[in-house]
Amino acid sequence: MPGVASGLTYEGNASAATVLPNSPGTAEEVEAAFGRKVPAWVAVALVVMLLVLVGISYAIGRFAVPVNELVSGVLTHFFRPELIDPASAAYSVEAERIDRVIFNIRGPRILLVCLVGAALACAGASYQGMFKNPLVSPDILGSSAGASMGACLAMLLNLPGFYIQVFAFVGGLAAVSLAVLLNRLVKYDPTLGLVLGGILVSSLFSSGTSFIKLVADSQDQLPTIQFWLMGSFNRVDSDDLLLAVVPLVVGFVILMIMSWRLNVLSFGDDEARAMGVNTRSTRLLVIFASTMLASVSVAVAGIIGYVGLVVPHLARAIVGPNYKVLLPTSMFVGAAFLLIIDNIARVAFAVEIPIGILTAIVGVPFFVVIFRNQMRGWK
Amino acid sequence: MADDKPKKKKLFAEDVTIEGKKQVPLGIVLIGCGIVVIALAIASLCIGRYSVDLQTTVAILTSPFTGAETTWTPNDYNVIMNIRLPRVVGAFLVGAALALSGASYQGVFQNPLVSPDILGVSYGACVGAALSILLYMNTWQTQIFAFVGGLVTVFITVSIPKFMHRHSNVMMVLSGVIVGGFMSSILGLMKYVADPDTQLASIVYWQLGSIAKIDSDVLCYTAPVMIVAAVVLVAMRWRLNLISLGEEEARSLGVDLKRERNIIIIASTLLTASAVSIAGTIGWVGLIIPHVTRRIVGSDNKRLIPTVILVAAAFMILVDLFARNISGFEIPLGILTGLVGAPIFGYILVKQRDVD
Amino acid sequence: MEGLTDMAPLIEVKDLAFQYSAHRGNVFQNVSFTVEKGEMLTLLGPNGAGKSTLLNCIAGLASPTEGSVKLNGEPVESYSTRRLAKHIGYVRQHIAVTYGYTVREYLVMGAAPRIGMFSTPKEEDYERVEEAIVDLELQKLADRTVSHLSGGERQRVAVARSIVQNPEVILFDEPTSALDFGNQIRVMRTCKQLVERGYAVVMTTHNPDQPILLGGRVAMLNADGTLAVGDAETTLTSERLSELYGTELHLVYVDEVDRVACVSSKL
Repeated sequence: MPGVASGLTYEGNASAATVLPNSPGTAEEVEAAFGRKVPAWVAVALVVMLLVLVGISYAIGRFAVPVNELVSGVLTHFFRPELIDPASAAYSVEAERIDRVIFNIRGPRILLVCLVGAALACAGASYQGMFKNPLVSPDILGSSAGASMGACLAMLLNLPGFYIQVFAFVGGLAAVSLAVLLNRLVKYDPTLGLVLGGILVSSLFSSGTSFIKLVADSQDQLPTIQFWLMGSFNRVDSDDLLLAVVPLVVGFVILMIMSWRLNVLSFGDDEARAMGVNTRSTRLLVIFASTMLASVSVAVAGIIGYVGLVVPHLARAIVGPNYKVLLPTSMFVGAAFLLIIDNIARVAFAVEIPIGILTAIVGVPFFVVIFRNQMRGWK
Repeated sequence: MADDKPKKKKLFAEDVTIEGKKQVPLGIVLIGCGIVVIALAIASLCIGRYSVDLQTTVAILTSPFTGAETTWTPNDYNVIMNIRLPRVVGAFLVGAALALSGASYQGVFQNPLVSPDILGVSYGACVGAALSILLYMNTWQTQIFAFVGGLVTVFITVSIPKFMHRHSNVMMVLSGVIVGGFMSSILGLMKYVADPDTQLASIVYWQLGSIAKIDSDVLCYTAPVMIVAAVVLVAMRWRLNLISLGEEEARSLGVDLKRERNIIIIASTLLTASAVSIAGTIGWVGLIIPHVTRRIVGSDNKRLIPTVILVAAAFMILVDLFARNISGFEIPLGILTGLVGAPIFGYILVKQRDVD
Repeated sequence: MEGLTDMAPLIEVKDLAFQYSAHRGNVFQNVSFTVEKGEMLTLLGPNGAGKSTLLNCIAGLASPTEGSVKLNGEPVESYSTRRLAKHIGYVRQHIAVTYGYTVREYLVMGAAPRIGMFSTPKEEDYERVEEAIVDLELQKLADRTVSHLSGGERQRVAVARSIVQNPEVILFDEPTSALDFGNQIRVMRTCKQLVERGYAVVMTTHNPDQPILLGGRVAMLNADGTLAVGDAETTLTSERLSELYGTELHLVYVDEVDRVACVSSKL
């Protein structure tokens, strides 16, 4: 039913309605259809906002580093390394302390929070475009459940951190592959089959996780697993950062390259094929990249829900539906969002609250509010 | 165009009927299922770490009525009557409650993909129940809290697709997944603030799904509520057919939609909440059993609903039997039903395609 | 009371107007007509003229902005859903059934208005179903699944359900628009048979040939939202139809079939 597919019109918000033409024939026409220009100041504002948030994140909580110290600390690190070198004459204990906080304690955490937020939002935006459904999120195909089970298994076997990540990634990939395979067997329309397959696989893998919890040592392993599952950036260090960066960047790059195809895909499968886009391989690639992002996020920080669901809608409200712009915007907004949440988790209460709980509690009301203004575009 | 629209909607219509074949009379189906349930129940009473032989079991069971002379040890009696019997009855009630509410939700929302756990009702009820544990409340209040939690959840889940003006089976499923996830997060928060020495363990243990704790006391509180709700649903079973035709069709057939739908939703949620408050979240039963039962008796709710109760009871007693005996320690039921239910659902999904 | 119901027309629509929202204007206005017992009325109008909305107003499923609909002299709003269903049956354009009910199971749902909320169909209801199956020659379909039937078969099953429901008037919402030519004719023949059995039938269509074929009265819903009612022979003229559909149409007498037909000019 091409009529239905092309009837899909996104609207950035209620005031600026863009109705897509029925049949885009060429790449130019696709561009034109999404041709809502995004002013440059939006990009600047996003970057500035993120930088300000990073500054705030340094300035609050334990080991707070005020902005002036942050700036001087960074400058010291790069331009006057002798101050922090214990062997040199100019060595200052205070400067070294600040340097350690900036680059070893707070720094990796802030960077990782930003990366994970960006990853979840980017994967979520891609999935929502691919499924043409505003309610899907990166873990809809079971990647989180699979990654959790993998990571729990690694913890059960007392493996070191590196293996936890590997197991998480393999688990996530296995779960998603199973969902895709099931969809192939079922041969329903792509959305329904994948969603059902994902739910099924999620449930299967969370049963596995429960089972692992059951046989885990309740003194030692169980609390670790339990706490880790709820999501936390509490124990990340620069090693985690190094491990996570490569797969995350690969995922980002693939999705960025696919952003044009996502635009075309939103016109519907028939239109996309008519324009020479291989919908199947596009889907598989998007699924692969999103799984990578979601699984790595789970591996470093546990299950953090609702970022991938809520943030893309927020981003869409700001810049509209063009995926070429929407994906980077989602990344920035996602990073900022998760940074705020992480700061709340870190500072607001006497003990650190698991971030997965906070994202849900903040995310869901957010979600409802955004939908008030956004929903017309998805009809 | 002629067949386009219905087909589109039918994508995951549960199209199971015994087409062309004469249907087996309901009475025979029910008697057959009843025999299976009784056989499984007796097996479940006999088998266990402390096994009791068949004659003794039957003799103990019938002793209150026959007054037969005591040929068994007090231990035998204790195991059968005070430990295993409440458990078997509990399994019966929990299984039947979940599947019955699942079948009712499927009818009332015209969506074969929903169930107490997919709609998030189980998790909402769980939040309510956990809250009452945090506030040190008694069994009775726990049940009320669970019910309110479940009702709030079903309302939110159903509202999201309505709010977005996109009614499709997938939207409701996704909405349920989101709301259910949200409820789990709140539950996580509760675990976080719970007293780790006393409350936490009891919340965690019970959330995983277990009927090991069921004793005759708990049954006295919950069984009457469940039975009343079940009676209402069984009485209204044929109305489910009408409601499942869709809003307009039901209304032009004279169905007072709002009232009947509300009664059914409340009764189903009450059943789910009662099941959750005694046994935690046990997934998949509410989704799978109605589907499996449709393959036996067809889609007509007049036949389906009574059969679902017995099939679910049999399934649950069997699962509990495995949970107790498969390994040295007891496996939570929620895990087992997940491991069994998901593949069955996969099979139904794949098979469904062949039917179309 | 009895006297009143005997006197009043079965359905009396008076000064009816409907709008979805204030700024979109009326879909139709000043619509008045009556339907007598055992009468055939065809509602003719182009797509989007509000025919289905008008039917929904009669069936009590939509509330008109102005005017009133009376059934046996009482306003439809005063009827409960159940009581209304005893008087009015409704056959829809698309019949989508989510579950795999067999035709028999589907037909017995027609008995719903006479069955209590906590009750199930009785033996006599199933007997009515068997009668309706014989009536509409559905024997071959009786054990099949409704959702597996073709559009035409489904339409017949829906009609049979209305017979089980046994109302005074059956409303048909575009029963022919999704069917092939043969099935269109068959459905219209069924409508005519229903009228012969004493049911009043109100049917909407956008095909001007159908009211001519069916005879009875026709109500033409014009594009400006007003209504012209009368016998098919007098109400339908080439000029009116041409204006209604915005294209040149002619009513011509066809010798072979001994009737007037509506044809368009060359393209």
